[in-house]
Amino acid sequence: MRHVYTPVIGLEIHVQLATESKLFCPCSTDYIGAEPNTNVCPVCLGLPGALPTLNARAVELAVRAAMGLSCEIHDGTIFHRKHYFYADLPKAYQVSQYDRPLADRGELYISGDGGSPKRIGITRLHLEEDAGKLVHSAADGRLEGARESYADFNRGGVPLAEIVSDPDIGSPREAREYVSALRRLVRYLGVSDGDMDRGSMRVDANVSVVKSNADTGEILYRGDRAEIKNMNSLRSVERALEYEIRRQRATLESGGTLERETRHWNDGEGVTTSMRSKEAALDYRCLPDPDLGPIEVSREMLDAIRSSLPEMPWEREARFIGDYSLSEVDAAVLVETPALADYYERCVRSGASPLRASNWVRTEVLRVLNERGVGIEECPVRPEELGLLVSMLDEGRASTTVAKEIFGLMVDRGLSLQEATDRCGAHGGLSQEDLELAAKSVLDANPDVLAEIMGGRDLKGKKRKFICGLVMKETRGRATPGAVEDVIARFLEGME
Amino acid sequence: MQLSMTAAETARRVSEGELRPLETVDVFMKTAREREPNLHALLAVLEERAGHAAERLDASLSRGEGPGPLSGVPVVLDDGICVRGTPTTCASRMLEGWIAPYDSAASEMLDSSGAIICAKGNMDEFSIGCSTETSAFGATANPCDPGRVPGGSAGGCAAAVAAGYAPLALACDTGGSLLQPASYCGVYGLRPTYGLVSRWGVAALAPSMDQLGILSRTVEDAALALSVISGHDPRDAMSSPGDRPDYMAAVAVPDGKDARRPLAGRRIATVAEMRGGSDLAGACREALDRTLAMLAEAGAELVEVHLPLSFNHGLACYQVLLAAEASSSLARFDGVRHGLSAEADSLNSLYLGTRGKGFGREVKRVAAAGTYILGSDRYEDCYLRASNVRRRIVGELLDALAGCDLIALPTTPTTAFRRGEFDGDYFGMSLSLSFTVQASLAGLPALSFNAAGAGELPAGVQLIAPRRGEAGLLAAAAAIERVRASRDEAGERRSER
Amino acid sequence: MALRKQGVGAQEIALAARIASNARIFMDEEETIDLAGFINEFMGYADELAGVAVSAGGEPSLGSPRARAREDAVRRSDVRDAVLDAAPTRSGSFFVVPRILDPQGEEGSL
Repeated sequence: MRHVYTPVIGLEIHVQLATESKLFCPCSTDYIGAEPNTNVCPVCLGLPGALPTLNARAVELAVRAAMGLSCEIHDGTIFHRKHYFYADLPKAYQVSQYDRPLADRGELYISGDGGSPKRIGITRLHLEEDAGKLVHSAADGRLEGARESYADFNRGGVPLAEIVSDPDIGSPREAREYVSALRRLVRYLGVSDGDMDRGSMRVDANVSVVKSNADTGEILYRGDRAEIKNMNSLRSVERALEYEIRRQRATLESGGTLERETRHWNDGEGVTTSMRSKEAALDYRCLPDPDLGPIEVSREMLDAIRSSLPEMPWEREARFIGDYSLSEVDAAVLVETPALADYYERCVRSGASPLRASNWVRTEVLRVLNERGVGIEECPVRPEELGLLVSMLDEGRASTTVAKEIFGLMVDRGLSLQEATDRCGAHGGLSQEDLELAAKSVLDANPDVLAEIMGGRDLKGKKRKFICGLVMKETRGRATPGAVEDVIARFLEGME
Repeated sequence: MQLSMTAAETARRVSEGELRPLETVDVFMKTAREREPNLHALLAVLEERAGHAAERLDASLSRGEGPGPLSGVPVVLDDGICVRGTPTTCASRMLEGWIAPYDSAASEMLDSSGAIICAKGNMDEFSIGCSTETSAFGATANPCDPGRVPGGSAGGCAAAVAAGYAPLALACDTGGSLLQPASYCGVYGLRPTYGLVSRWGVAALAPSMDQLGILSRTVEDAALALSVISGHDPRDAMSSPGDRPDYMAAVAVPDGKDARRPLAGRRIATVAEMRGGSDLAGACREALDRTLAMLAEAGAELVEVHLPLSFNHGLACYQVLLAAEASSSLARFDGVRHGLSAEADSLNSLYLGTRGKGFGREVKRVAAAGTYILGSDRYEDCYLRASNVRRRIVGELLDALAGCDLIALPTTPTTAFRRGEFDGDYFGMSLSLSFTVQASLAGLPALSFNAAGAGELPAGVQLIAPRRGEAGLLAAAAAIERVRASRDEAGERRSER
Repeated sequence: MALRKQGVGAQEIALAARIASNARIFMDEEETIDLAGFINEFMGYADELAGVAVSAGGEPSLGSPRARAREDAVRRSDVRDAVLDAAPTRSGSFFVVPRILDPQGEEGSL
C-alpha cells in the first residue's frame, strides 16, 4: 500500500497595533532602541494599587483588522487574566482574551498551491498585551558565564492583536502566502507596520501531518500537532515548516508516533527542537479581569470604522489588472504596500502609460529603494515627476537611455525633472548634426544593406530597422527612435 | 483641642483661624505616642510629611487662600493605600521597606482638601483576615477592650479612630473588612457603592469587590469625607461617572414638618432569614431591635424582605471568589521589582523562596486555594459556579431593594472576639463576615454604626442601600444619631433631677 | 499552629504540595499538611454552591459597570527612577533575575 502524507497547518500571528500608547496605560509604545525601563509606569510595572484602562484606539485598530478579515465582531466581549510566572510578566498574568474574543469566523484569500485563490478561515482575533523583554547576556555582552538575566519592561503592555487561522493551510508555501497576505492587509488598514524583523508581526505555527492510503484516500493516522515558535521572517516560516513536515513524515515512516509538543525553530541550524511536551503544557488559570469592563463596540463605532476603511489590497490588485491591463504578478508587486500602490497611481495620473509606469516603478524605483534601504515614502523622485518622465518616453521625446540618465540625476543629485532634463540637453545633448553624422557613417559602413533597401528588397522593413538600430547604437542610445527614423528617411529620400 | 473633636469641627476651626494645622498634627502625634504602646494601631507615623503638610496649609491659609473642606483634619490611611514617598507594606514582610513611588487617588484628594495624612494603619496582611492578627508586624488591640481584636482587615484604622487619634480614616473594604472593624470598635463605617470612589493606588485583594471606605466617629464626618473622596477617576475603569449628590445636605438637620419624623415615607426592611438565627449573639440582636425602634420613631415604615440565597450561600460564594481573585492579585509579588527577594539561583527558586518567606500563613493558604480553583479542571465547578451564584445574589438583593429604601441588619453576628480565639481557624473567623459579604458581592453601599447599649461592647448595625444610595444611608444614620442624642439628653435630664 | 491532620491523607498532601508549587510558594512539610486541611475545608464551601440552581452556561458576572476606554495619548510617568532604586537587584536600567539558562525551556514568553 502506498501512503501519502498531507500537512495540516494553522498559524497564530501576533500583530503589534500601531498605537501611540500601550494597551492599558499611557506609556509610549516606542520601545525600539529606547533606554531600558523608560516607557514604564505603575500599571505596566505591576505596582501594588495600579489599575488598567483600555486604549480605545487599540480596540479600533483591532476592529479594523477584523473587518479586513471579514470577521464577526462581538460587542461586550471581555478580557481575561492568563496567569503564568515569568520574568517578562510583571503582574504574573497577561491580560488577554480567552473564550470570548473580540472577533471570530473570518477569512483571508491567498494564492493557493493549485494556482487559484484559496480561502483560509480565520478562527479568531483577540486583543492582548505584550510581555517585556529579557536579555540573557551579561552586561558586557558575554553569554558565557553570565549568572543573571535582565528584564526590560518597555515592551510590556504594548497592544497586540492575535490572529488565529483555521488549519486550512496545506503547505509551507501557502503559509508564506498567508503571512504575506496578512501583512499586506494590516499595512493597508493602518493597523500595524507589519515588520517581521522588528517583531511587529510574530508567527507561530501549528503543524501536523495526516497519513492516508494513496489509492483509497482513507485516513490511517492523524499526528498530534506541534507548535513551532521563533520564526522571524517569511523565509524562516517556509523553511521551518518544510523542515518540520519532513521531520514528522520521517517519524511516521519509521513507525514512530507524534506527540503534541511545542518546538523552537533554530534558524541558524535549520532545525526545530522540542521545548516542552503536552504533559508540561501550561495551565494558564484564566480569570475574567475584574479591573476591566467589557469591550464596547457600538453599532455607531462599527459604522464609523467601516466607512473609513480604505480599498482592500485584493480590490486594488483587481482594479490594477482590469484598469491598467497589468499582469497578475506585476499588480501584486505594486499593491504590496498602500504607499507603493499610491505612488504608482500618482505616476499614472500625471500622464504616464500604465504599463511603462509599472515597469519603471517595479525596476528603477524599487532598485533605488533597495539600494538605499528606505521605503517608498522616502523615494527621492516624486511620483508626478516620474510620470512626466515616463510620458517623455511614451511620446518619443526621450530615449530609454536618456530617461535613465535623467532619472539617475534626479536620484543622485536631487535635481528636479526640469533641471535634470536641462542638464542632459534636448535629445540627450545630441544635436541634429551629430545625428546626421551618425546616420551617414552607418550608411557608409553598410553599403550592401543600403543597396537592398534601395533595391526594394526590404519588404518587411527589417533592414531599415536594422539600420536605425545601428544609428541608435552609434549615438550610444541618446537619440530617440523617432528622431533616428526621421533622419534615415530623409537620407533615403535624398538618395532616390 | 479635645480628642473628641470631629473632622467637621476641626476643619471649621482651622478655616476660621481658631486652630493652627500644626496643633491638630501635634494632638494626633501626642495621642498616638501615648496610646500606641498598648494599641499598636499604626504601622507608620508620617510625622515629617504631616508637619510639612500642616506648614503648607498654614501658609496657604495665611495667604488668604480658600480653605479646603478637610482643612487641618488628621487622617489615617490603611497600609494598602499608596502615599508617595512613604512606606506602604500591606502589613506584609513582602513589602517591608517598600516606599510607594506614586500617590493613590485618595491621598491626592485628601491632600487637596486640606486634610493631613498622619499615619498608616495596621491591617491584616494584604487584607486577608478579620482581626488584624495576620499583620506581619504585630496585632492591634481593640481600644474598647484590649483583650479583644479590633476586627479586620482595617482594624488599625478603626482602632485609631475609636481611640481618638484622628476623626477619620480611610480603608479598603472587600467583604466587610471595614464594616466589621467599625462594628467591633464602635465607630461609623461607610462602604460606598462599587465605583463611587477611585481605587487607584489601593493595593488589590479582590478587585471585583474592593472599595475604598470611610471610618469616622460621626455620621456628619462620614458625609464630609465622602464628599471629598467620591468622584469619577478615569484611572479606575470601574469608577462610575456622573455627579455625586450633596452628602452634607443628607445629614443636615431637617427643618419644618420633617424635623421630628425625617424618615417618614421611607421603607426600611429587616431580613426574614435573620429571625431566630441561633448564630446571632444577643447583644447584636438587641442592637438591631434598638435601631429599628429608633428608625420607627424617626418615621420609617418597617417591612421585611426575604434574602434566602444571599444569607444561606453568600459567604461560600464570597470565599470562592475572594480566593480566586486574591491569588491573582498576589501573583505580582515575585521578588523582581519591589520588596522582599530571596537568594536564588533560578527563576523558580526566586519565586518559591520570595513568596514562601514574604507571605504569612493566611496569605499563603488563600493564594494557594485560589490558584487551585482557577486551574482548568476546577474552574467551572468552583469559580464559574460562584460567579453565577453571585449573579443570582445580586438579583435577589436588587429585587429586595426595589421594594424598600434600605435594609437593616446587624453588621456582625457577634461583638468583638478575643485575641487568639480563632488562631489559624480562617473559616471560623470568617463567619464574622456573614452579614457583610452580601453588600460586597452586589457592590451596594452600606453604613455601619454602633447600636450597643450603654456600657456594653460595641455592636454595629448596618444599613444597606441601592447602588448610589449613600445619601439615603447617611440621612437615616443621621436621623438615628439625633434620636439617640435626644434620648441621651432626656436621660441626662432625668438623672440630674 | 493548629494543624488539621485529621482527615488529611497522603493524596491530599500530594495535591497540596502541587498547589503550593503552582502558586510558587515554598512550603515545608508542616505547612503543606496544613494547606491540605485548608483546601479540604475550602472545597466544602465550593461544594456547598453545587446545590444552588444557576442558569446554565452563564458568563461570569463581574458585578461592575461598563468601563470606558481611554484616548490613545502618551503620558510619561515619573516613577521609573524610584522603582529601579527600590528594586531588589538592578543592573543599570535593568531589573535583574537569576540567569534563565534555557529561555525556551521554561514557561514562556509569547
